[in-house]
Amino acid sequence: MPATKYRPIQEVQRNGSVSKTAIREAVEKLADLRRSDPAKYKEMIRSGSNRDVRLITKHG
Amino acid sequence: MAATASVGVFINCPFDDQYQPLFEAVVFCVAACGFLPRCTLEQTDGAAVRIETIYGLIGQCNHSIHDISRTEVKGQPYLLPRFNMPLELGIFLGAKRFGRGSSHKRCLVMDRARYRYKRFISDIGGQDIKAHINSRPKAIRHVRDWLQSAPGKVAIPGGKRIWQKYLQFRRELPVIADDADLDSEQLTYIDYLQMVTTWLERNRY
Repeated sequence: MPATKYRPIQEVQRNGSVSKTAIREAVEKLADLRRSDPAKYKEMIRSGSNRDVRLITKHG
Repeated sequence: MAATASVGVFINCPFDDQYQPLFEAVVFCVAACGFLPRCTLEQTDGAAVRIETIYGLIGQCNHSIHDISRTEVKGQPYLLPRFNMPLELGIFLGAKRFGRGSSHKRCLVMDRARYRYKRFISDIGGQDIKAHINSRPKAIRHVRDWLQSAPGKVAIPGGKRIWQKYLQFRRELPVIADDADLDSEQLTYIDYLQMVTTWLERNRY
């Protein structure tokens, strides 16, 4: 079977703005840090652990 | 490249604080299986008529997930149940039954307990309702197992593996959001989805 292809979200994107480049850079940066400096990576993860992540949900 | 109906998965679920952890896990799981999660939160046009948005999403997605676990009177004013989720399930079933060329549409119905639906929507009896018991790993496993049987298979990892990846993603999410100058306590669905797909691309199985 072929490898999983993660779907692009252009279809969805049309309906909203996306900080695409900034997100890609942030993801890359953290992944590189995990490999190159595990201690600093752990420290960053620890510093983020007290921050909540919440989506805006306007309706239900 | 526009998404095609064969990869679109419409997620019909409650959008409240209590359900949010399950919703975020389901979105991650759908993307991790190589599909595109769609829901009404992607519509940011305040002038859009909600039911039309739902019709559009059901029309554009061959797959849909319906979580009817919030059909209850507890905590509701006038002791009347929220009924948006069963309504949207009904619209989907109608589209599958009567829509031209829509017989291939597939759905997953989830509730918090397996046979609870019989008390309020017994007409869907005979379908295999999955119980997630408000557990994220269980919801991920149900969604993953259901998507695995979709036509056009790709290599889909096991539910346990997706759950482990999800935990790693959640640990990194606040740092990524902060670094991307996004307010992690007020993320839009689009931003969250962008983070999920970008992260999965970079952290493949």
